Amino acid sequence: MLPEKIYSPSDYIPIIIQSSIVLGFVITAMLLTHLLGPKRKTKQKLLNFECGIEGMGNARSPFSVKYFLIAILFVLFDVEVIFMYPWAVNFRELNILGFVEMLIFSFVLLSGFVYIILKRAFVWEK
Amino acid sequence: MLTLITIAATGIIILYTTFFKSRKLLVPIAITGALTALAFNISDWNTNQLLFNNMMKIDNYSVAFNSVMILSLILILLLSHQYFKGVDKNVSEIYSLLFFSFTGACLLTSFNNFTMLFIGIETMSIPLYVLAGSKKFSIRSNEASFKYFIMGSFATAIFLLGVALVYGVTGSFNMSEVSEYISATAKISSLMKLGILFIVISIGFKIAAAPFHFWAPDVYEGSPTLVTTYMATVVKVAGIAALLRLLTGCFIGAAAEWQHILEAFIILSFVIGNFGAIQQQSVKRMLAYSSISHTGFMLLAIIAINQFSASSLLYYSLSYSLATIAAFAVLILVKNYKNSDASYESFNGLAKHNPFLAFVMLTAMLSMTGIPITAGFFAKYYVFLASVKSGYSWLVICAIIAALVGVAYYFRIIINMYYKESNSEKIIKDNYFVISLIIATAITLAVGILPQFIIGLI
Amino acid sequence: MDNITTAIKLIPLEHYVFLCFALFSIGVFGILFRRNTIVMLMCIELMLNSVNLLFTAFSAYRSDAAGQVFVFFIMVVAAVEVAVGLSILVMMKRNVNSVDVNLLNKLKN
Repeated sequence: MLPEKIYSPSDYIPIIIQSSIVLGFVITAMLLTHLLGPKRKTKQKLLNFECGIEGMGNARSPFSVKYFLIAILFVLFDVEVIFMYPWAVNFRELNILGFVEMLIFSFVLLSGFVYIILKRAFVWEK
Repeated sequence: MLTLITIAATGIIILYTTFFKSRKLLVPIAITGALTALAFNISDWNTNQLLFNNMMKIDNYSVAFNSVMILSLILILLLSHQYFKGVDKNVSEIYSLLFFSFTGACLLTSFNNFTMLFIGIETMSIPLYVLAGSKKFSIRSNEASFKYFIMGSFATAIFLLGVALVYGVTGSFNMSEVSEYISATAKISSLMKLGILFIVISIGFKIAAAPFHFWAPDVYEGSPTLVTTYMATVVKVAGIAALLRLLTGCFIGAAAEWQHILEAFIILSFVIGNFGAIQQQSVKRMLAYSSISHTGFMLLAIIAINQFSASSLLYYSLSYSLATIAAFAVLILVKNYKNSDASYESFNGLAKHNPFLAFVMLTAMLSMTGIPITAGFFAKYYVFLASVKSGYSWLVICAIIAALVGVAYYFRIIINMYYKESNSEKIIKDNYFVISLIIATAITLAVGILPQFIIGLI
Repeated sequence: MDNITTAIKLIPLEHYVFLCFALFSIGVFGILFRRNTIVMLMCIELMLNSVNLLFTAFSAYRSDAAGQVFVFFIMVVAAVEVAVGLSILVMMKRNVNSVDVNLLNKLKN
């Protein structure tokens, strides 16, 4: 066990200095390049560059729903992990019963996952 | 506990039948699961169990309400075979969502802890948001689903705020500990009152009690009719059962606080439910409004909060569920046959060529009105008796007026069926459908003639 | 671990309650007055998370872990609700090509 130490707010001053230096460097660097760099605006330069083809259409076109599906599934299965934290903390007290219960929980979760795989939700090109 | 496990496991099994292309097996598997759950449920009778570190309490109250809900579920499953005939994609998912939602409904009758109440409400609601929108390409279904989702989540958030306040005051989620705290303190703090108010209001949202009913007619109309049947029966019964359990088991010491809220709920439900129902031209919407009015009657049993509350509520739930399922079942057939928006006119002359359907509808409507020899009469009678015993005679008078107004719209269907002419033909229905209708009507009549079987149970 | 609880307790409990109620009210007003469905979804998240904050504050003040475990359940339910809600929105967007709530007026008598 490490000895307990009470931190006071003044102990965090180095962190504040560090973060202000980082932020300050980034901001000054970006401002300087913006101010110092030469600007020659011609029509050709302002056009979107798409492999030599002239840009057409709107950039805000809807994207494939597959991205959405995978993102949503990630959110769903990602969040279940939080139930493992309290279980891990009390792992010794809960003993073998807690382990079996967590196995059942994971099994139920996995049955949903297997369903998704069998339903071909992760197949990119159908 | 086995009831819950069976229901949830059946849901998962049905989920996987989608890969075996076995449409014919779906309904049998689902009904087998539900019947097994019913058997396990009844075997819990008279065994008071506290499960999962006092998180759940299985007693006769929960067993009785679970049985009513499983009966409704079985009847709905029997109807589903014909209903989903035209649908060829993702049918097993609909069944499994029904079962997952039902898991939550079972939790709601047997919780002993706010955590379980919360999980029950959410497990019940979230699959329903999907089910309400299960007609993917119908804009009306989308709209119903979205409205239900927003209102449901809103209610959830309010519920959680209430639970947080109660937890902050009492320091516990356990029902008996909260109850002890309330009876031990002389003056209930304002945070606690606010917490109780929020919790009761949010459950009022879920059971569509006026003035928190505004989502109900739209959602009931837009959802697929079978899902509407489920929402109007199982979900409402589960919500009401949870409310009574919560108020008796937890907030009974603060009865003076929530009885005023319930008074407002009841009066507004009668007024809005009845006057809304009279104005409707669509039968589906009429049934939605009438279910709001029925919520008022059920809350009448809760506000009485005496030894008759539970049994009269059980009886009312049973009669209401059976009548609603029968009415919606006939509506499904008529709507499919006429391919219409299910106006009153589509019921014209039903008795001539489909005497069986007309009789089922007649019993359902009489039961909803509360005419003797159907279950509805004694349901209303016992609810009135319970609230008169607690000194709510003025509410009972309002309720009787409300029941009389109900005659106007229920009898309109009966008159259309029996006294109006139309060139209708025989409507084809499959065996499952007939079985479901026969069971619903038979129990409605049997329970109406011999009410003491149900009323003496709890 | 004790440090976190003591740090939480440095701020009076009322402040947490007021902050939570303020956030919750912002969520309620957002749902009532915003017409963009995605913003409504965010407002629901805001309401749920303000309750989470209240739970953790009460839990720390009472030195009782039950409140924090409840927060876990709320977080999971919130994730599930977002998943379902966004799916409903995608379905809606496909059918009416908009996420404006005013277009949802087909169900009126």
